[in-house]
Amino acid sequence: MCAAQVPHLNQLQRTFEKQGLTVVGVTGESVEDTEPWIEQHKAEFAYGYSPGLLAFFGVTSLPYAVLVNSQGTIVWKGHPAALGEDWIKIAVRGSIQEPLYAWPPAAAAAKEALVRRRYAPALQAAKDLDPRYAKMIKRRMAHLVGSMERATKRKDYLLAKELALRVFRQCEGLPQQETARERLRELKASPEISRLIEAQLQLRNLVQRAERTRERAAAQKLLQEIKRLMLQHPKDVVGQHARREALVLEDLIKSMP
Amino acid sequence: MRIERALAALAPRLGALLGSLLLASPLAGQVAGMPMPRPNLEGLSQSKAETIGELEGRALLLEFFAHW
Repeated sequence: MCAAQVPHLNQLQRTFEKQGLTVVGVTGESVEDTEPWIEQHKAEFAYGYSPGLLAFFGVTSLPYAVLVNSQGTIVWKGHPAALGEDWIKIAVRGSIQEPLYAWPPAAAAAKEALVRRRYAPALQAAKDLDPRYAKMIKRRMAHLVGSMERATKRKDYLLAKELALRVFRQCEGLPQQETARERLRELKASPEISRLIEAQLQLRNLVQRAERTRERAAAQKLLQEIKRLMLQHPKDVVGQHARREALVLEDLIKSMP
Repeated sequence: MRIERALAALAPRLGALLGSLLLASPLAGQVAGMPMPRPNLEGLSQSKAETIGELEGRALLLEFFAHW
């Protein structure tokens, strides 16, 4: 983040906080360097220290932002100035109505289970609490399952599979786990779907490599591979995604020395 | 002074334009669906949450920054 981003981020925090967004600044620098800077530029949002997270995303230039939705899925990343509010509106869907940090001590067990993303013990612990806690937990589960079903319906099978795996793990012992098991069985049974998932993984790998390269020749080679996938999949989700990624990569190549 | 004001007014638009053309990497379609491991943040400050875990269930905008 450069100082110019601070007012924009403060505004996003204020505008979307009640809808379920938290802006978190992440730095790999020291407390001594960071705290005076935060104070000087009047940053109002949360911040913390994590050199490892910068490495995880392969961040090589700043500012850089990553938007994670309420289910813990990455939905956008790039220069913060290019982040439209529509993305944020999508990301906050299904957010928990009362943030966990505001839950009372009596709800500690339910909260702890939710932090671990385990819904059965969370529901069990919520039995003796005000019914609104169980309602919030059920709503989160329903949103997760709904996302899985919507991904399946629009034939985004890689996303559907990743969400089904999460439902399976997080809803252990609940009826939703059976729904996820069934969905995973269906996805695995179809050779056509397996081929599409394989192609989606291939595309993801190409894009990740493209993001990390700073050499024009290497980026052009990756672009050709993405275009090849696009041609191989003219009518499905792989082709749609490949087309979009090719356009973005073409723009990035133009800016390379 | 007038030039400074004009530049200040243009800055957000220029930023967005440059961001989308040069700096942004909105490879969102491809990134979408990738689960985000819970960030291991130390010294969470200016937050109502005591730990990053207490932000479970909320959308996060992680903003990577440096002081320079």
